Amino acid sequence: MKSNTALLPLIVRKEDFGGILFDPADATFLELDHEALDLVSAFLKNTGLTLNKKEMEFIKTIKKNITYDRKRDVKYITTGAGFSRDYDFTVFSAPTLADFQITNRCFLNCSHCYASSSPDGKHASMDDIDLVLSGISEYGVCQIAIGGGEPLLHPHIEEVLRLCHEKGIVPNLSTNGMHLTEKMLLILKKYCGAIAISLENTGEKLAMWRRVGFDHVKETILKLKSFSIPTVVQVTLSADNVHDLDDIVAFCLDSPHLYGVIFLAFKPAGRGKGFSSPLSTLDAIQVSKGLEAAFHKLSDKIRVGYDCCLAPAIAGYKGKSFVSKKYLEGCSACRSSIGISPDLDVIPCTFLPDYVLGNLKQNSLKEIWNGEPAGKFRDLLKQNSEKKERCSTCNLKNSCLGGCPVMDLVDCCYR
Amino acid sequence: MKIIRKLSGFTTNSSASSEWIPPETDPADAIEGQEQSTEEVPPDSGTTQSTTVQPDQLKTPFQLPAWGKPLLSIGIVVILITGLFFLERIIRKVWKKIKGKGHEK
Repeated sequence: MKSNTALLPLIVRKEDFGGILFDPADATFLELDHEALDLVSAFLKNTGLTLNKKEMEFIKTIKKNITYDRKRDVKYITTGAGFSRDYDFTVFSAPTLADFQITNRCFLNCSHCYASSSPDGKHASMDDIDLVLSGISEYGVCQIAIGGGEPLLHPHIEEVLRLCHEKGIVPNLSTNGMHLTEKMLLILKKYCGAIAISLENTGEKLAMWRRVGFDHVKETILKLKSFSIPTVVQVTLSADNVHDLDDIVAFCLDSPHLYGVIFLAFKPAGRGKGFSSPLSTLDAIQVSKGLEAAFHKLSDKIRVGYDCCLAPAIAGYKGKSFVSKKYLEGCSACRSSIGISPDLDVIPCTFLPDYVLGNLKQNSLKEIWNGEPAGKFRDLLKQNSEKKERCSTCNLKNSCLGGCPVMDLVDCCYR
Repeated sequence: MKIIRKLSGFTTNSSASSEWIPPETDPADAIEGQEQSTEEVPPDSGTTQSTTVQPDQLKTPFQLPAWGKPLLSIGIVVILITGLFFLERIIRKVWKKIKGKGHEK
């Protein structure tokens, strides 16, 4: 049984620069200029079109990039004016991704948990979840990252995932792997795009981070593999484990079936405050070199990614980015992504639970996205790269955005 | 009319809305300020040919991959040289035979 994401509707959404075409089958996300968007929209509306040679070629290119079926549903979204005129960086007219913490319950009690989840944490109610999913679906959000807490502890997890599909949204999920029964694996396979599991170190060193142990992580990855579920390994890097990056990379290379490996910056948030030190406390050149080496070792075999918080380390080494500028993404909070707490508070990202932009019980996502607190956060992003002297001479500043505007997570070594 | 950027891959983390660096990105050209064009449409050939089509009529015909054309040219040259070589051998043999027959007479 394959995941049903290929049955979800394509999303076509207007933006200031033109628009986006999103294919949930494999989460292909195409940014198109105005002319291209108009052509693609007309083509997908399935009307008789008069195409010249150039347009026919372009439609062929589009068909190569998506899973095309003329019977497939298409969701057309116009969310209103974007924010491009106000900023030098891209701000989408609505989020493309929402990170929804459907519960605060988790039995692991990890010392570094940024969400401060605990065994008596609360679940979001099904009514609230329905409200969130309806809201983000209407607003054209393409993917949802379901987290917690441990989302598999939510008593209605199957219903939540089914509802995501009903609303035309791809659900992805992060888990600690403690509750992966055969029934649960079948549910995840049926509905989810990808499943993430965290791995902060290998062997006995992992015990510092999570008491489940390295063997449990390996078993979880194998379980997911046996059900052919796309599996992402999330590696949170702090001053304590970045020196062990080679071991983590070697483990990932031994697991070529992985869907991807993503490196995340450690955030001193929640219980994580005081647990470890962020990468900004280390020599910036060494951090950049380590990340670059990891990228080169992995990228031939496995999909590699970095969270936007690591952008300065990607951008900074010798003033050059080791990935194309086009794919260098600074903080995505309030530009293309949003976080939602179990109480339906909307936050820029899940690492900033106190920075509340609004609550979905009182306001729609559109009102919150266009509201003053979200605007202030974007201004913070703008000021972040403007106030740093070294950013002023760096031509990557509108991609990197100078790092997290709230926490000092990682430094860049551009001088 | 163009694709400005293509991203692909399921996203499991809010701080990584476009987290996956495309596998085709060559680190060698990932230098400062250099933009890569992923799927740009070829320039307008100037033709005004128009066709009315339904979406499912747009079948992609067989197309040579990017490396196909140079490989094909090299192949043709090699075949041509080999052919000339054998032709020269045949002519030489035939000439010898004709010459031999003339000698017998």
